[in-house]
Amino acid sequence: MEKKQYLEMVESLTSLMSEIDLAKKHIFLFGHCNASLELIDLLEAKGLQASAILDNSDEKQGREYRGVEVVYPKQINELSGDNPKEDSIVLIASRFYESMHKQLRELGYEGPVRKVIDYNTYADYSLSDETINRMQLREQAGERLTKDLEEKYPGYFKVFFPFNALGDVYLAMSYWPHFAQKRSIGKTVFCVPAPVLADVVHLFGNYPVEIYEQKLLDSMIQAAIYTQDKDSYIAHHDRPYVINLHRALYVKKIPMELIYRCGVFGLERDTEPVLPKGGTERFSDLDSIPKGKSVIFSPYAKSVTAIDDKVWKNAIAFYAENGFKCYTNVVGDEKPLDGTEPISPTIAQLRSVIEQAGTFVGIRSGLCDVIRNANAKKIALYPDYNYCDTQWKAIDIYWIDQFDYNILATEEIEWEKL
Amino acid sequence: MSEVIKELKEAMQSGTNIFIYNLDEMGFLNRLVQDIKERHRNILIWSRQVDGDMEKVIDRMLSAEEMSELLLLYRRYEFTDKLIFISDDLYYPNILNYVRQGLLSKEEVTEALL
Repeated sequence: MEKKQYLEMVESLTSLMSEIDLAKKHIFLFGHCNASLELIDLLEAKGLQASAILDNSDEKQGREYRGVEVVYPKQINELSGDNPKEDSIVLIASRFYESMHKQLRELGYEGPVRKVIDYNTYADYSLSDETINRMQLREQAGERLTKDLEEKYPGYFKVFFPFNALGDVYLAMSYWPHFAQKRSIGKTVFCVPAPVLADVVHLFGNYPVEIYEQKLLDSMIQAAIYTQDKDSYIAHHDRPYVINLHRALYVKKIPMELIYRCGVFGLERDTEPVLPKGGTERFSDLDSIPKGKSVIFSPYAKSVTAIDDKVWKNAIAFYAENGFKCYTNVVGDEKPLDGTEPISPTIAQLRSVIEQAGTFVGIRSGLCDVIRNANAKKIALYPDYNYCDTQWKAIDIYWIDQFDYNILATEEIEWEKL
Repeated sequence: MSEVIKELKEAMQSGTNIFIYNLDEMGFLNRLVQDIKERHRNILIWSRQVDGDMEKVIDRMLSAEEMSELLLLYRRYEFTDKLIFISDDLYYPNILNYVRQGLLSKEEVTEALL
């Protein structure tokens, strides 16, 4: 989870605790996702214990995190005490807040339901005048921001990347030049919600990039939808709500690469991705990394369930025994894995670091996309989870052909055989 | 509040899906809509333009003003997950791209949308 969103969650919980005595309630979380697990940690730090995680997925039933079990949402009525309205509360840290809230009400649950992170500013399942007016003002604010952008970049086409995900932007940029050629699009400015995404765009060329705070970018995207701005494109596979590509996954398994190639950009199936031109910047301390005898671990991913510590411990033990120097790629206040040194190359320097080290072992995150063409042994580890609410395993959707190994990290990994 | 928005609200409250379409590829869409109507009971099909034999599957004919009002609302924010709107707008990706590239059949699109 991003730090900004984590802080928003902390603030929401603090505010909620000043209003409601959570210690006297059965606390339920909706959605077995990374954010919910972090919320359990946060509750625990405040001396509170969640009663259960509600999730519709059959596969997730019975799973536990810190003693908190995953159950079906329909079980809430039997688990929330004699007077659910008074004795319980549901906390939601998911972008599907609106549909989760609706489902709870349809199940007859009458207790409080609170959003702890505003992940999805596009949605408010109401047609009240107040809501319509508020959303109108939001869209109009987006139009004004877009006008400012157009004044800064007259005649430029605008591309919106709605979500802070390295992999999405990497894949989009891999196919953007083909799309631009097909549509005869000239000068283009890219709009992103985080500086690191600008770095990913710049791997592919010296394009102008504007960075916006997430909610402002959301309002600009809403304005593009509302005004049907023909000089813009929303280059994403499932955000915001008007994009329906993800629905295809209910009936067919489509790998993410094809989702971007054919779905997002409507290109022919055999279109080859464009390779990054940049990303060859030399890491300042490159010579201190033993060439070919080092391994870069990447254990953190903000929207993916963490991999068991045991997996990392075993990997570090194996590589250390075999004379490798072990590093953990860290950003901000992330901690290096025990037995490794921290290393923090920029996006543009990552390739040089991994090629110098010779081996990369990472949880499957967008970082793996960024280094997919590095000349090194590359191993992607996947937690065992389904892609969104589909029947497909994440490993099937996110598999990277350019990696030497794509491995489900729940099994015992025989590192010596890799 | 206009009549069409009132009807929309009622449908949302009763949990009914509403399928609205606004496409140039009418031939393809006609088959899609017929298929949707045959296979799914809890759905209303609303449309503005209808040709010949499609009349029997359309639950609500929309005037130009009503279509415009619905579209403006849909484009302003996500007010429900019960509204399925298919169009060929060029400024964001569309599931029909999969059909054009041979990844999905039209029948699979129907299944996917509902």
